[in-house]
Amino acid sequence: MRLGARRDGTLTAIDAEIVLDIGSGSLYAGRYAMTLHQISELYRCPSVRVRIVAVYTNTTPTGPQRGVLDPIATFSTEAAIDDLAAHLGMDPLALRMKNYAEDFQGLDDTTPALPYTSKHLDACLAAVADAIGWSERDRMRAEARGPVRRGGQLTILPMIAAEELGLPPERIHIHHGDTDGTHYAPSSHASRITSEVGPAVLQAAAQVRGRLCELVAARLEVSPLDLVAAEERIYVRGVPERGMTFTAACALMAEPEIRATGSRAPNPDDVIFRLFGAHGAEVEVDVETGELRVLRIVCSHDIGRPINPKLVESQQYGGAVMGLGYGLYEEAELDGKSGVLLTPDVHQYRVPTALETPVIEARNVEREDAFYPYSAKPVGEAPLVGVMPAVRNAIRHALDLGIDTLPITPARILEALAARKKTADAR
Amino acid sequence: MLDELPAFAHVSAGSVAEAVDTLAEHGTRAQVLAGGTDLLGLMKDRISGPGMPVPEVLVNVKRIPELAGIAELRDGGLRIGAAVTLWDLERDPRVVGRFPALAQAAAAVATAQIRSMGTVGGNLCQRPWCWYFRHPQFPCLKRGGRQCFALPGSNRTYFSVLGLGVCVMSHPSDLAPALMALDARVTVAGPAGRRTVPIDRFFRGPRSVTETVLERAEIIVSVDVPAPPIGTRSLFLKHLVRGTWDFALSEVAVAASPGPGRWDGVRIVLGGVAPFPYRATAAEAVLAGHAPTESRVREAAEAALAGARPLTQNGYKIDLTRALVSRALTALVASMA
Repeated sequence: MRLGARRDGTLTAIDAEIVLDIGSGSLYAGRYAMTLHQISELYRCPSVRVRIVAVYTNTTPTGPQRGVLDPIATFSTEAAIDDLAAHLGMDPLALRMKNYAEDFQGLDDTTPALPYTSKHLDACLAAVADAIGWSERDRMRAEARGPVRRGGQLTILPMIAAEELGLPPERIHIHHGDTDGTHYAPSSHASRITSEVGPAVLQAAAQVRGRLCELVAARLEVSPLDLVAAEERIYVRGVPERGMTFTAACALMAEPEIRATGSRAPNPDDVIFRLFGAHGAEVEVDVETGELRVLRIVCSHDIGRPINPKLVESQQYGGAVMGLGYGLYEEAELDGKSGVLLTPDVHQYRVPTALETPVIEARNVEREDAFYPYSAKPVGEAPLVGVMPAVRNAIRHALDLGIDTLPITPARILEALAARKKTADAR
Repeated sequence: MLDELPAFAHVSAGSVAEAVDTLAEHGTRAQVLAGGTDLLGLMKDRISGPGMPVPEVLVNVKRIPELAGIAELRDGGLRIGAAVTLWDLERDPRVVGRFPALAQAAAAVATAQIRSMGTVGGNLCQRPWCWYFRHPQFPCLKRGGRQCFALPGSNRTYFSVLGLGVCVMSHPSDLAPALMALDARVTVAGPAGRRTVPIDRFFRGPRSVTETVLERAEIIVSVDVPAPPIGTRSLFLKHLVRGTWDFALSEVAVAASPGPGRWDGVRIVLGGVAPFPYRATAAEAVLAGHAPTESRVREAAEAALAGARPLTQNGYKIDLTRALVSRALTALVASMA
């Protein structure tokens, strides 16, 4: 990763070369081009080049996991930005804000510049800076150092239906994962379910409400448009006593059930849909033993308006721990001669434990975005992406040393410190 | 590697004699089953080789009265039965009070769940964690094969920088360095009778492909930890990659007996850096009979690592271990102040 910049910090070029070991088989096909977006959309920069070479090797096959190639792309870019800031003698946050991109800048001749549906990354960065105590960091350094419960879609979809029908979510039963009785939905990937299936559920629920309101309106001799569904009742707007319970409304039905369908159209093509976020980390490094303690992780995501704030938080906690595993503890060791995986179990492939989990704080930016139902942006994957760059850059601040080989274990820290000492002694 | 446990016959021995006889009868087809925390994993992964078959007979020793409990020795030391769990060992008030290094070492093993089953005897006899030894596809020297794969291959984590020999794994026992710092003795029973082995001589040196001096059909009965000289303090430090459930990248056990204005006796034992628990005798010589000043402690830490020869990927262990020795000794001095 090479960056070009003027003395005042203005980025002039980003040049990334990625060599990807995809093992003996890969599910990445077609997704490599994402890295161009992921790298170029972080900053305003007139000239961006990404070359990516995927190499087949006689080792275990590979495929995308949370974030796909974004963790790699963002780690490389964010590490380079902090190194550039050090080189220029500039505050890394100031360097980022200097090159902030309000809009999507377009990509070669195929994709024009377009506005985002909304983007509040600047607010996210400010929130993280405040939460982590950014202004104090140099002083601190100087002073020492359901069937299937899967992700969030199981609760989000009943909540959307419940909101439309004016019922508590517990009265909505979601029947899913049964190929006999249900339709196929898009797979639960790329944090999509809330924004892809959600609108369809909303439409269908709205149709059900409409039909019930027709029945109630006929009984009360009012227009259906005068009725609201809320708090388990259907009643005349502003006159709550003139109405009936949801259950009583259902009893008016002549048909055995009300069936409704919903659908979602493809995205409009004059806006760009993205989720942005920021992470901050505070670490402690023991330079004699290489031991690293992550004291705090803070994050802020531009999430629109959360349908279920607890689920957003849990994605952020999970993303933080997963990011720490990715960056500090987990290493799949391959034997150099045979390509055999030497760490095939969770014993030697060290997944973080409770003892590795620091204080994690989220301060999200909540704003309207009319392009998402209830302004709810999907937030499944983004909470992973910023963690490792933040920790790497915190280590850089602590040691004045950038370590870019993951995981950053005590061994790697000691080796990097020893190498620097050797270079210094040689001078 | 999620294989099922292979079929085996289970014999619950009621006495040491019964255990020894059963082991002798079945030869290499039988193994001792105490907590099973190492054995069952080896069996599920089918780790075997010529002369080292997957066992078909497991001799349970947990019901043998002689292997149970922690008893007082007449001199004020303790006799620890081989089947005592690490859980019981770490919280026994006599162990905590008289032999802190041992309690600390026991508490540092793996996880609470493993410690509730794992035993003292098993901890001393556990097999190494070289990832080639533990992978069925690599017939290494320890499994009766012809080569060591770690020497030219991956050797970053559980591998040695001292006492290298035929095999370069680092010994995984956390108890062993602590027991060695405390001058423990191991009582062993076998077909030829009983014998007591000082723990310094219980582990084989670098030219052996087995780790302990246990002969065929021999079992550990108990470990004696003698009462130390008055005023002795001991300490154990373990350095891991993550906070728990990990073997040491490096660990140190130290014990010292104070005299007037000096240390009369000192033992410094390193774990995780040699194929056996490593007594740093050169370091001990720097301190024995002298006041443990800061510069002597530094000198001792240097001496402990003299002669260290890293493999291709584990050189960081030298700086790391030197720092741990220094810290352990400094903490020991502070605890005696």
